[in-house]
Amino acid sequence: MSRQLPADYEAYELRKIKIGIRMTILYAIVYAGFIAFAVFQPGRMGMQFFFGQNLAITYGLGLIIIAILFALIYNHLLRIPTLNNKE
Amino acid sequence: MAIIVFLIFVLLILGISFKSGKRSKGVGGYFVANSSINWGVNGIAFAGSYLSVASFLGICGLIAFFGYDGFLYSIGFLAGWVIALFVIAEPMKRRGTFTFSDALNESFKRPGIQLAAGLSILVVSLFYIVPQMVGAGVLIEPLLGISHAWGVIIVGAVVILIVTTGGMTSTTYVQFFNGGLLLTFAGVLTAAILTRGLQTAAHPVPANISGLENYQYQQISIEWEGETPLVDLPGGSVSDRYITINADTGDKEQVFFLISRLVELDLDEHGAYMAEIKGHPVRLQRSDLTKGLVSIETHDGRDYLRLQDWWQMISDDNGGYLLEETQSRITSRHGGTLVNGIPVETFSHMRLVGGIAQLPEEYAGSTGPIGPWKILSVLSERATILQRPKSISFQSENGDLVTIHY
Repeated sequence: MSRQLPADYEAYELRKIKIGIRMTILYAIVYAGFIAFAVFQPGRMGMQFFFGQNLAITYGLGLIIIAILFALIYNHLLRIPTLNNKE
Repeated sequence: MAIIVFLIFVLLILGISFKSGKRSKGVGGYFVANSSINWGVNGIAFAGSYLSVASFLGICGLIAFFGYDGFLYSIGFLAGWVIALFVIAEPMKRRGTFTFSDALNESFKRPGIQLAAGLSILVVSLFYIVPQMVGAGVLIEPLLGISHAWGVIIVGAVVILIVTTGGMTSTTYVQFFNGGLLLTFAGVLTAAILTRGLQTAAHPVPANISGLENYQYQQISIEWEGETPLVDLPGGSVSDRYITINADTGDKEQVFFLISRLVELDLDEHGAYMAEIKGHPVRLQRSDLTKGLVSIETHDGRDYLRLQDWWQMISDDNGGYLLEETQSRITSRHGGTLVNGIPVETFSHMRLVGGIAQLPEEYAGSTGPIGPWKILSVLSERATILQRPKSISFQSENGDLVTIHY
């Protein structure tokens, strides 16, 4: 893959790493919340109803949807700014 | 017939592997397919590897046997993928390294790093591969009739062949094929379940083309003669019993009785004996009778099959006791195996274990076709009572190994 590297590629790389680690930590917090609920308040998981479902299923499916959302956000944030320098 | 289909699949996969293997040359080709794989293909290949035996059989089994606790396991895999995407994938691609130990080595440049990374990858892979291989053997055994060990060896050999000849290119295409098939058929299964809906055990679904009707397990009342129950079954008498005791309280937890009874036999058009075992019509083979595992008796001019099966003692609503049918698998010390009283070579299908004892009142025993959100909410309502499948294994007095599903 040959692509003309923009001048601020170094900064772009650092930005990539920062965003990646921050999103990982954010997801880890959300995920840890799920585990904490399961460990400390297992009864709650069965009882609260959102859209007719209980908390466990909502949170579990929510984790999956959030992972997809994060991936899409990550993809959007890291578009290569190709034309910014030439203009 | 099944073996032919299996062989066709294997040859197809090996063909894909060899063809795409020719295109991948060099280290880059072997490890990352020279980055030439379409993102859609790669995505479905990932989905296929996520839907591996561990999820497809393992998580389903965990949820079926342990309920909610199994569900918690299924969320675990997901987090690893997130970390791989955000933290590992991009830097490794940028540096052009192919393995994790290479990437670490570039940053830290110490020999111990490669060793540590390599060892950790091997250990994790070992733990992951063991259930995959067990699953391979478990799947192949009933499908093809070959033994578990051979199933593992065949699948392992095919996988090694694919990976070594084609590298990542062929692995990805094979996984794409695998993932596409799994996603399609899991979708079909889900649609079929949703169309059938939920029923309680007491509300049987009538037999249709799928033959998946429910079976109502018999319950009989018993009268006691001292310690031995008298059973109201034709020709029935109790031959053995098994009792489990609660270690803490000393109370009897479960009591099982081995009952020898007579089952009516009919003759089919070829003159072979047919009996109805747990709702399935079973045709007896001549070899069953000569081996002495089952026997036929004649009473009042009618032929009967003498069957031995285990029944469980449960309490009824009035404080008395009932005996309920169970399903059993008995391996006698002479080597023959009986499933529900019939030799396993003749008929080995067991009925579905577990079920729904009670649904919320508005469904009156059967929900009919149901949507995906609705089925989850019905299952989590308080009024829904599930019967978890339970089993117990022990050695009976005459040395037989018995497994009872109740």
